[in-house]
Amino acid sequence: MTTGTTEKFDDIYHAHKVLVYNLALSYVLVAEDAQEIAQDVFVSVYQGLKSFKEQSSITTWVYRITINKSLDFIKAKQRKKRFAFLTSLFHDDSNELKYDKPTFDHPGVQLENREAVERIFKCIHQLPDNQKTALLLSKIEDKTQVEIAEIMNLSAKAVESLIQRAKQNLSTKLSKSEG
Amino acid sequence: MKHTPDDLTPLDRIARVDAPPFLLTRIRQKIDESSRTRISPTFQWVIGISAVLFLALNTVAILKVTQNTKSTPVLAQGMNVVPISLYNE
Repeated sequence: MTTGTTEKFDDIYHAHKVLVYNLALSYVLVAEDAQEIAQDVFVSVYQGLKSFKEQSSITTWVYRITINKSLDFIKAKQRKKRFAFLTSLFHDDSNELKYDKPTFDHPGVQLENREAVERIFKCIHQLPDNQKTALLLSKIEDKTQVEIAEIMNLSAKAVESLIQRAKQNLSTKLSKSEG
Repeated sequence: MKHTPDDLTPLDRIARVDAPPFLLTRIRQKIDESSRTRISPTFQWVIGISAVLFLALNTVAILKVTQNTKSTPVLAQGMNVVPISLYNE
């Protein structure tokens, strides 16, 4: 790492570490996974610094990388789960489950709130990627529709429609999950 | 019971958390690892051009050999030289 690049990268890291970590948490809901995504995001930021042409703000750029890395992580995890049925689920020498990882470990959620939040997030994660992203940016990141439009490279109208559909679908899923 | 968007209020109670303190150290380790294993663009160009040159030269050589093989009987005929073959009677 050259000195100039290191300083610039460090500035970007300190300015965006909370954003990246919390956004990743919203997607994967597990602290350990969010840490892994955050590492990958900042490695990509470092590698892309030289070629970053400032067509958008750095924050917007970081948001986009975080969203893409998070969605890729979720897809990879789903693929691993499918393959887990074809391989042994247990470690060779013991009866300890190999794939018994927590599905909800969000450090920002209080214990008394956990059940409700977990149920809502599980329904959010059944939405299509673009609706999920628009809803998370709106509800969790408190972004305006204009800001979300810039991050997702859509028009404000398209974002409004996405959020509306996301809320409708979410409402249906929450009703079904209650029974 | 149909849920309204207001039922998303539990999400408002999610606290923003700090990134773990060791995160930057791990990121720097990953960056160092990736820069060691990465092939530089210059090296990639050198390999690419070398491969193209290698293929081109081999193609030219094969074509030349093929042409020589075809023209040998014509040349022999022109020089009144009978090609020697152990199987000629």
